[in-house]
Amino acid sequence: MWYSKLSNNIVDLHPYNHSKLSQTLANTALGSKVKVNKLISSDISSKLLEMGLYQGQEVEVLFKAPFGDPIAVNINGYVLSLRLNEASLVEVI
Amino acid sequence: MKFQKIALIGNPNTGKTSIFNRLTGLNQHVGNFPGVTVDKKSGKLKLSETTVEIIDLPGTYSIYPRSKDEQVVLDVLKNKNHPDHPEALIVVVDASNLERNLLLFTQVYDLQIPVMLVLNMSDIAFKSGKQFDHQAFHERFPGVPVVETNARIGTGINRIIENIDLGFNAYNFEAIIADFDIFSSPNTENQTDETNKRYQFIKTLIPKIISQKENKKQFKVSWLDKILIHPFFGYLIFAGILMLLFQLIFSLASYPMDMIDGVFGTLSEYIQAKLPAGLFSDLLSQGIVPGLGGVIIFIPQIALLFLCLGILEETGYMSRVVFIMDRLMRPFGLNGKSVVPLLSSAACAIPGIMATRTISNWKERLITIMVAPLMSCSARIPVYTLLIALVIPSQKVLGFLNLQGLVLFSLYALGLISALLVSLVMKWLIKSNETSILMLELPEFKSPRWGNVFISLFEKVKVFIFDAGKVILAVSIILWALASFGPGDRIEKAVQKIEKPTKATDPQMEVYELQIKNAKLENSYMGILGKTIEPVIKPIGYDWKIGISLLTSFAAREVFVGSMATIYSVQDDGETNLGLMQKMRAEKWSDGKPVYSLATGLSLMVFYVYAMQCMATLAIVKRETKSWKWPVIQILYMGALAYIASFIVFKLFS
Repeated sequence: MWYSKLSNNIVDLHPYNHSKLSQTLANTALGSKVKVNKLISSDISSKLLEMGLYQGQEVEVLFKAPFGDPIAVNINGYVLSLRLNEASLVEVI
Repeated sequence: MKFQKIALIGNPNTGKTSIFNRLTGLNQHVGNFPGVTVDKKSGKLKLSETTVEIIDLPGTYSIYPRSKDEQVVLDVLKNKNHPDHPEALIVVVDASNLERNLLLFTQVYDLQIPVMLVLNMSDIAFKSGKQFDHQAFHERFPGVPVVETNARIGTGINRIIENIDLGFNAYNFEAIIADFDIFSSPNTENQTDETNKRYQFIKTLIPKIISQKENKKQFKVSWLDKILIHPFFGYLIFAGILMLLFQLIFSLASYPMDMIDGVFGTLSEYIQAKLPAGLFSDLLSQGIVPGLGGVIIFIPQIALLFLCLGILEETGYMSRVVFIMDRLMRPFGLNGKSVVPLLSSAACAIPGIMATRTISNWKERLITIMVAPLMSCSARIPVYTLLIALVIPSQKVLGFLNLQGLVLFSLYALGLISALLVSLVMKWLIKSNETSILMLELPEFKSPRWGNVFISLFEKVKVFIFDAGKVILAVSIILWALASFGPGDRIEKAVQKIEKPTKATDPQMEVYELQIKNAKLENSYMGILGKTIEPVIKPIGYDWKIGISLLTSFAAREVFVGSMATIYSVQDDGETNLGLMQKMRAEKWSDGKPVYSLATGLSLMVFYVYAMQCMATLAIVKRETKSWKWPVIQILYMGALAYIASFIVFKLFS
């Protein structure tokens, strides 16, 4: 759809974007289940951790807001919404 | 050991507030934590012998602060001399999400403050044969009482009370993180290290305390979510709900508001008739009673709006609104949580500003508060209606659009666009080192807990009456004094000059009384002030009569109409204002040109879009920011905008 294109552009432009180097929660496809590999160090790492995104945690991308940002993920049975720039700090495998 | 002060702590959305409400009922009090803007909610719990103060700490995921709200939690817990330092803590956790919720528990446990664990919603989380192994938990945490509750229906609350009554304290204390030192603020790296260790502990703990192995349930996105966040239907539904909300507020609030207006009007007349004429009677009937009425009149709107917002919040819909609006608001320095407060301000800025408390980022909350009064509220409608009827001809544009309606729409649009633009400017001006984040739980859809809705509504009304009410009353009395007194015997002389009709027939007496009212206002300090500022307001097209009305309508915007009626010695009929409009149309400048030209009319409308003509809003901004700094800045910037915009409009159209 037209808006998913727009959101891709937003991801590409984002300074936090490490998509070329590794897969993050921000560029994980809708519906796929991944595991947290590591958190890219930033001033919100501890916050991400507190929300349950520790290494080895299983995460499933549930849905995205219009314009693709923020996204909603399933962490251990609860739904967390986070912005793309926040999600791009979570490296996944 | 009998506790006197206990605090509730827990993640957001765990039902902590429900438990607080169950424990304290309406016995609640909203106060301050010293030095911060966060409200302190506390209540009294009566036990068999003693009374315990229960403090409801702001919801938090960890004791490490990320925002000013969360800073309070840390301050209260680590400083033993803090006036709100609790003797014991009740950690409320959502039993269906133990892993994340227990993180906060392990931190609190390591603080070595006596602690109780409350597993809320355990009946739902532990169904299908799963059980919480109390024995195993006590082996690891001796002396920590565990209570399973369902705060929705009230089960388990008695067990919490029993435990408080008995007192509790952990023994054989064995720290989870041995060298945990909350007193030295750890850097981010140590903090993540420590949190990781805690999660490792929790992951080994959970299989021991939950008897049945948790089978990973397949998560299904609910159909409601699919619709509510849909790029087309999501916004459509949100618009529909807003429309419904405004319909409800405008159609329902007017009845009690008219009633309050009537009651206070009658009370004023009654006092004036019964008390001996004089200063005291005037102060009471024209200063204090209308001032109180000016406070009470807002209650229907505040209550109705918070009833609606409470229901939206409780059902879980509000977080979906935040989810779909966040991306759109971010460029303006706002976030998804700003949307509802801003749109509520289109009914009335007061509940809108009070609703900004959910915005945890201080800068974003402040910007939302600062721009909220730019949204055109219901009090502007009488002013707009009068002025539009006065200077805008009723004709069709493009064959089908009504010009008057179009102007009204443009005024609303101007308010909204200005609010967004000012946000953009403030985003650059206000400095903050708090990163903007939006990590937010999207809770499951539930039916609202009415107890919570009504207690929060009650609390909001109480805060408005007692905190903002004082300021509103004080300002009303000042405004009354300015409009009732004049220098020396100026007022008496002016009144004496008016010829009293010899025949006391009704129509002439009425005219006489209106003339007296006018003479009093014109010769009061307010009237003199209005005349003094004429050179300042002439460039934007206003005469001193408008000047006086601008000053008096600082009380509330709609007062403008009543003031104009007084100045032109006509009865304020509150409806069509035909008499007033006739007089206003006839008003001429000294050179014979009409005062109420298109340019002046438009200039006045634009002035009312921007100017902060509402003492109640001022009072609530002071209450919410806990300082006079922000309301003063707000009055100044809005005043400057009003003047500049009116000047431009006046020049363009004259």
